[in-house]
Amino acid sequence: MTPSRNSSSCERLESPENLTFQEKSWRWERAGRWAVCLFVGAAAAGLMGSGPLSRGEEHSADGTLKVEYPAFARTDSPYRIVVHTTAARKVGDQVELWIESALLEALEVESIAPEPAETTLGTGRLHYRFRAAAADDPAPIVLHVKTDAVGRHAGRIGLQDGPSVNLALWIYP
Amino acid sequence: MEAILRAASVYGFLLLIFRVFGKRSLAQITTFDFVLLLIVAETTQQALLSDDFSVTNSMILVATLFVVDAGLSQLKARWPWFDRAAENVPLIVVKDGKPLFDRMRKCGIDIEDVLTAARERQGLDRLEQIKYAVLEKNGGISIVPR
Repeated sequence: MTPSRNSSSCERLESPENLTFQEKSWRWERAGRWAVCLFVGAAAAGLMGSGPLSRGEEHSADGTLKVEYPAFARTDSPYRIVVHTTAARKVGDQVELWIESALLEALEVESIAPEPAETTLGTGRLHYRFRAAAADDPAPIVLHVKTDAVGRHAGRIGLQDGPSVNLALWIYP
Repeated sequence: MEAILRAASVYGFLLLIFRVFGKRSLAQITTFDFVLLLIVAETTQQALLSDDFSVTNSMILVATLFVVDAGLSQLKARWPWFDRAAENVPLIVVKDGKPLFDRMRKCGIDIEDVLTAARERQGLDRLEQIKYAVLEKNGGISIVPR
């Protein structure tokens, strides 16, 4: 141990006390504590996923498609994508939803409610076909997904021969 | 690779959080602090392991934590400024029986902590019997009697 150059308050005790560094350290500790508080505040607000600010919502221009999704998410966590559509007009109509592969690279679809009558592979898209049971105010299609990537991922989701919207997700590690 | 990144990032975050919240955060822990540490350990365990509970994964994680820790020790030995930044420096909090309250407040300790250390380590019962009380890098309080 070497005596401190700054140990003016203590000439007799051989101590590595360094008041200059200690003052700097206290300043950094204060700043660090504020940073951690901001981090917790941002998490509570939803910037890290699961909170008010993490809720994304996209509407098509004609109003027949609305998608609720997690704009901020965390990897390996379950989320819901809720698709509201008024595209079906009468009982027996079919609704065909497609999702771009770019989006599916980041999201693993674990289940869909209601279950699609048919799933088909398209060019760069996955199609889900549903039979509409009600003409007005149909129940939403809920995709239970699990995030499977990190970083920013975007892709379109839409209706066959209908409108589509772009979903942009930020997935934290 | 993912396991290594997980271990290194959790190590780095814990190092940062304990450094930021002061040297007293781990030393002379109360019962509640102990419970808090157990919760921190449980929380970080899940982040480290994720869904992979294999023996190989746990071996990778343990090895990574030891390698990162050894690397950090090497860096501290090579660069004193890095050692100070990571571990902080000792600080005198009582001199010739007089408490330095401003320093104590900034470090989050009070006179009771000093007197407890004086009783436990030196059998002293009065502040005037203390020549120096030093808050060490590890958060413990060393007492030099008069």
